[in-house]
Amino acid sequence: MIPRWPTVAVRSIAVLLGLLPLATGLHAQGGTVSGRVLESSTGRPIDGAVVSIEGSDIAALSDSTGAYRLADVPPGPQVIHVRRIGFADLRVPLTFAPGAVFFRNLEIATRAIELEGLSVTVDPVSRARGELATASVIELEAIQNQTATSLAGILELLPGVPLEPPGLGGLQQFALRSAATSGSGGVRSNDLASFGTVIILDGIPVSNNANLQSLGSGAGIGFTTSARGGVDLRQIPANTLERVEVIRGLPSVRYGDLTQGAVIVDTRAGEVPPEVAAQFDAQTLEGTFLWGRGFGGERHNLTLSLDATRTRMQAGISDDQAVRIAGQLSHRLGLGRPVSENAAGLARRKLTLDTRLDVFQLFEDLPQDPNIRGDLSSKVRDRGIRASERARLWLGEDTRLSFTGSFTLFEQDAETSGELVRGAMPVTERLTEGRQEGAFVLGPYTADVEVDGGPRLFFGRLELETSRRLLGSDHRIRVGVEPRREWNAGRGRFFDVSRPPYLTFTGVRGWSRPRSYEDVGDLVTSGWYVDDRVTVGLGGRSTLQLQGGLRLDLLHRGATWFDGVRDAFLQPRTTVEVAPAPWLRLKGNWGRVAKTPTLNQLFPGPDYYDLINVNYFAPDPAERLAVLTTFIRDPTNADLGWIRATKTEAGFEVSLGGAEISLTAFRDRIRGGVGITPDTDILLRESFALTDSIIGNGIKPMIIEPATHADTIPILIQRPGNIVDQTNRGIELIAALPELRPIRTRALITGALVETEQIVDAIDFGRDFGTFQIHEPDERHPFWDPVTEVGKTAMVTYRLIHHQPELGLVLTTTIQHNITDERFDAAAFDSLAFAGYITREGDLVRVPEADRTLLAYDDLRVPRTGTTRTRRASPADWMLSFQVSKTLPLNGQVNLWFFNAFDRRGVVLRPDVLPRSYRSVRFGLEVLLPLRGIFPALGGG
Amino acid sequence: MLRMAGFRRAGTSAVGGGAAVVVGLLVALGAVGATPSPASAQAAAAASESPRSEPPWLARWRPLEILGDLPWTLPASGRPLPALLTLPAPRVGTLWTVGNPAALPFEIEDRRTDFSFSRDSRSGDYRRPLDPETVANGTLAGSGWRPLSERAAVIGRLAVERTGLGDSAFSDQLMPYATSPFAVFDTTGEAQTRTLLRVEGAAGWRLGNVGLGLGIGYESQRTFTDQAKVPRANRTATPGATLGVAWTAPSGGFTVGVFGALQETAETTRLYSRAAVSRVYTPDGYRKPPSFDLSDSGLQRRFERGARGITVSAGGRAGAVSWVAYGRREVLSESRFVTFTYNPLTDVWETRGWTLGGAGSLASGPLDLALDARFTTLNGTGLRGDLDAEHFDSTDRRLRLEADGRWRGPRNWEAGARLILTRSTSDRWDRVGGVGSEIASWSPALGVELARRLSGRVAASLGGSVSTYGVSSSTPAPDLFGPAWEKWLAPELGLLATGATGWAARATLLIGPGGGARDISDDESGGGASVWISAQYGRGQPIIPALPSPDTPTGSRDHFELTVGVVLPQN
Repeated sequence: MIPRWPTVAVRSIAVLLGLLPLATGLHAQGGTVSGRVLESSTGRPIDGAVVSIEGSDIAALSDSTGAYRLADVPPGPQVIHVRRIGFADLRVPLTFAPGAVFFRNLEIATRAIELEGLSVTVDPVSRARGELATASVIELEAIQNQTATSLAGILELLPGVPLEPPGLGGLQQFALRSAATSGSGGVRSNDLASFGTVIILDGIPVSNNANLQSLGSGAGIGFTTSARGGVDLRQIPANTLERVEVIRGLPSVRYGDLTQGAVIVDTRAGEVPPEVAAQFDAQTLEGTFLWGRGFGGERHNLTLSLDATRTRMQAGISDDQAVRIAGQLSHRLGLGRPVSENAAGLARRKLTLDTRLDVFQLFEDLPQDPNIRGDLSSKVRDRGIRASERARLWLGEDTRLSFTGSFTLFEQDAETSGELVRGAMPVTERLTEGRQEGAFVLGPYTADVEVDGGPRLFFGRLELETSRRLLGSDHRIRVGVEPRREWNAGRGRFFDVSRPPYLTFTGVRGWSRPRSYEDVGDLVTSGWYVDDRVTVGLGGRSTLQLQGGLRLDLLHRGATWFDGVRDAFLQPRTTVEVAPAPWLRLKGNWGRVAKTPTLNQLFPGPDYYDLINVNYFAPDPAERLAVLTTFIRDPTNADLGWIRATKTEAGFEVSLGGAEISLTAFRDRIRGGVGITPDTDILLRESFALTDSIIGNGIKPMIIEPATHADTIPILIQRPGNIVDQTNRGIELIAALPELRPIRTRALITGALVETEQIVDAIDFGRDFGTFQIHEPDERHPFWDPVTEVGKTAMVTYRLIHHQPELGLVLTTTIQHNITDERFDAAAFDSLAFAGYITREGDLVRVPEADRTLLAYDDLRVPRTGTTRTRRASPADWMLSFQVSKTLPLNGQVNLWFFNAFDRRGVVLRPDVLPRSYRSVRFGLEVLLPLRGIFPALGGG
Repeated sequence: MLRMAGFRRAGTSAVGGGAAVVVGLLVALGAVGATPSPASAQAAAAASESPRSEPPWLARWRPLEILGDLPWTLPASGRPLPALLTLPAPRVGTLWTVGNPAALPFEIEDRRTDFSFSRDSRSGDYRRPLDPETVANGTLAGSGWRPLSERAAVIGRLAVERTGLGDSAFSDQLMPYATSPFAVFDTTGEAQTRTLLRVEGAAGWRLGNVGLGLGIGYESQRTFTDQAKVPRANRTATPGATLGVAWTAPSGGFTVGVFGALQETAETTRLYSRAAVSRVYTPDGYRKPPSFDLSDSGLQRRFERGARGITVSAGGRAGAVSWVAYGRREVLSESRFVTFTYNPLTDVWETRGWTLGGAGSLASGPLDLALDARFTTLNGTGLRGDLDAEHFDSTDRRLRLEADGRWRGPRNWEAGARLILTRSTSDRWDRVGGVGSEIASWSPALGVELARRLSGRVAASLGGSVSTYGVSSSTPAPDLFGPAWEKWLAPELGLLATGATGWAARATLLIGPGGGARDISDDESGGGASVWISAQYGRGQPIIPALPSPDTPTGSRDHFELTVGVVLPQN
């Protein structure tokens, strides 16, 4: 049983907060580090190298002897970052105690792989910029060592994330801290979690809120869509990334629209030596080009990145492909004189303008091939362009005003067609309420659907940030406002109603109709926040850091921010870190976060109910008659509001003897996730007598008014509601062990134990409800209370990194150890489990538990359907992948990678075992080649 | 004893008469002879219809060297050309000849790094029945070795291959011509593409007179149909490792060593019917091959095999002569089953055998001589999943003798020759059917090459090889087990039971100091990297007897290869 961490964490935080007043007045004295920058192979001094403390404005240039000096370094774990054109970036982690003085020579090389202490994994120490929360930072060296086609592949370095081979095959959504459950309640836990994991790309959120690319339930054909969950990460190429910060804990109030955490992604920009990268395997081919250089007296900087990738989706089918083309053009303009002498004019000018233009297109094609697939085909066209401007104006030495504005335009087009086969069913094309003659649809026939969506996102942020010394403590205060508007400018969803793409029709709930997106409203929000980060010396070598803030998220009613507020949610957030000694940091946080519902949940399409009045199917089509009455119900829920979550966490980080260990326990409670509330209603069904209903006479019969009979049909309106409660709790471990020098090997262990409980707070009418609806003799039907879906995963990943800098060789072996995967529904399943019944008039009647054995309820004592009765778990298993990275002539590098190298199956076929199937063995190579090695005239930037 | 009813005996004069032909063709000839090993099976090694053209000393250290198997190649398809300009002279020792990585720090004193890209194609009707009519292959390879210090040395190699297999690629397995009688093939035969990646490396450390060595290798391949009505996918993963220890006498260079080798292979083949029906055959010995039709269903079959070997060796040096002798015990166990089933029926193939070998080299003035001999015998037993007892056994033996000579002449001339003589026997017996085969073959091959440096940085060479294949055999009659046997399996035996000849010619142009150990005019070349290009053309064809049988092969098989390589400077 997992302990009740929130209680522990809250108490810890309370104690720590209580200590804060005692600590104020003790200034945390900064540290100093100095030394020389040297070339690793020759030992010669390197001048002109920019040495900085990452994430700060502390920077210096090395002189002609290679000497540098950095002062006033804040206490705590820091990273010294060395940049020099023509050399690989060097990052050296160093933990500063108050007043600490270090002498450290920094050796740089042309390729990172030739550097001592190369880090190719995540760091156990949280070093996210501006964030005190538990975070994993993945630097450029680790990104380049990780064979990945998209951001999803980079995120595999996080604890608890399973390994996947690179490529564009299949949807890539990322869910932080969540385990899969059965989905019995109609909501997949991982969809909710991936939806609540916000992706921030170069300061701009990448949103999936306005994605309407869905056919709804019951579709017999389909296409790949991410509409149910989070962003499809295939649109973000891995090779163009500079740094990824994953805030697994509580993000600061600067970040909204999330329930799980934040993935903050920086692409490569600035001085980037020209470089090409090519990746090849049996199914995927990728090429990337990067180049950034300064001009105009170093005031301007222009960076260009291009990426083209193709993946065969299925082995053995060459024309089923996904193709991505992505590019970015970024321009940085520095205006005014350098603000800081220390920054040597390289980092801070009075005004810095960052302009970026991102484009991408992701095509997924399954073209028609009558010889191979018959009529089956699909085509998905996702295209996007994002323009953004970030302006930073220094108002003084320690005060900065930032403005971010962006506009994102997506075009999402999908087409699919395929042959459907089914028995004769009446169908109507009616788009308004009323009765009319329908037609019969019977298979086989070819169904075609086209969905044309156009999500748009405007995002802005105005933020004032200042560093102040107040009450004897160092404060960094941020105040900001964040307007945001999302809508969908697409045409809608279209198909021929006489050839619907759906398969099931019970005679009550009709097939969905074509829908124009013109009636879909706007999703308008604003966020207001204030945040303070305090650093306090506790005396001696101890420090305390506190980051606290308040965020107010408003969900607006109309199309602008001035149309009133539909829902508001105030979110206090606090993170505390105490370092009683430089080698130990204790962390805890508590706070609230919120996520907006999607456009589709706020503005669902109308529910169509087609009741069959006449179903006369004769052998001769001319004699057939179908009459249907269409009812329309609007499932819109005006009360739908923020999905709210409370995040609690406690943990520690230890740095001892070259080993670094981080252990974190968390508990995230989501309240008000969006699910479907089945609101009951009744419809009137009429039956008619027919004229001339004699088979073979060649005459179509007619109905005889008035109706001979009428009955009521209870229905369930599919209304979105804030009814999903999800609790995720678990433990995360990251342990980096020191290098074993004789064998030049280090080990990094990441692991996560996650348990998810989910309740969709809605009455469960079971799978047989459709039969009850149309079977008039049944007077009532049982319903059940919701089940608690439970999912558990425990996974440990061992990475052994053998590094020989003098050979330019890194051998990375990764063992993924799946300790357990478990899934079950916690509920009663026996015949007395029913909670009540629904009548034909749509009334819900609860039956007390003590009365359920009465003879009067004998008809309700039926087995419960649609839930996972048995507890199913996968046995422990493991999978091994490895990669060989080696320098090449001309400063190049080659990575050979082998996924699931032993081709382990991970499959156990038994009814009581949860299926698990590892992806089969894959392999490929990636070549990185700086063009400067071939064309020296290209220079470095 | 063989049951004679329904059998056909065959014999050709290629060895007896052919020996004279070989002696008469000492001008420029060559090819390694094929090893008879009938009734399809698979091996851990990469599929190839031709034997490896590189000399054995370059490959023996590799952790993925074949263990417990003697796969057979197309008769008379080898080309033993010396490669004077691109490869060093043969080396002899505990590492180079035996493969013990513990000898790395004792035997590697120089550095070498080379890369090459080759494009080769094969076409023609003279082929094994499951070979595609056309094969086009591109290979990117890199290899190198170097001492890390006085106490440590490393060696490594990587290769990436992309192969287009034309129509008629019926086999679902990577290598259906090993000693195992179990195989899977189907009748769709649509074109496929194969991608293969192999990386191997070894490191050795010296602690006084004792050396410790570890080698690790990994190979994986994926093969897909391109656009098929019956899509087919095959994949293999083969990790391998060697671990050894060696001791060298303080003086005299006498070395003894022992090392173990381990390989594990998982091969999975998947075939499903999408828009056509295919018949799948699963031969398991000398009987009518079991079959079933694949329609609206899929076939997923998995092979898991493990091979182990332990080798002891002794070697030394006396003056200009180096020598080494070794013995190896090796076993292989293979299971074949259907995946995604609980308690699947499993076929098992096991081989046990041993290898004796030795090598010696002599460097005397302008002359380098090297001899290499190896004899392997393997006993195999097969157990069908539907039987309780062993149903098939085999005894395969192969003797391979190789001589390599290089002579550095005046005025920038150099000449080299390789002579390879292979003797193979294969006795196979299906206990259930009471049917078997006996095949014994001789295959001599000779290659010569002549090279000259034309200027300070330019050199060229011309070479040629010729080979013959002579056989005496007793095999089941082609029509003994029905039409499927006659079409897919009997031609395999017919191919092995028929003599063959082959020839090849190669031209190489090199710019730079050269990649060989005895570079021509090093001083004049100016050092630096060497770039070379080589073109090779060869042909093999059967010697059709006066009274051919229905399974006698016809036609010829052509091979063209173009290679570009670079040898990096040693500093």
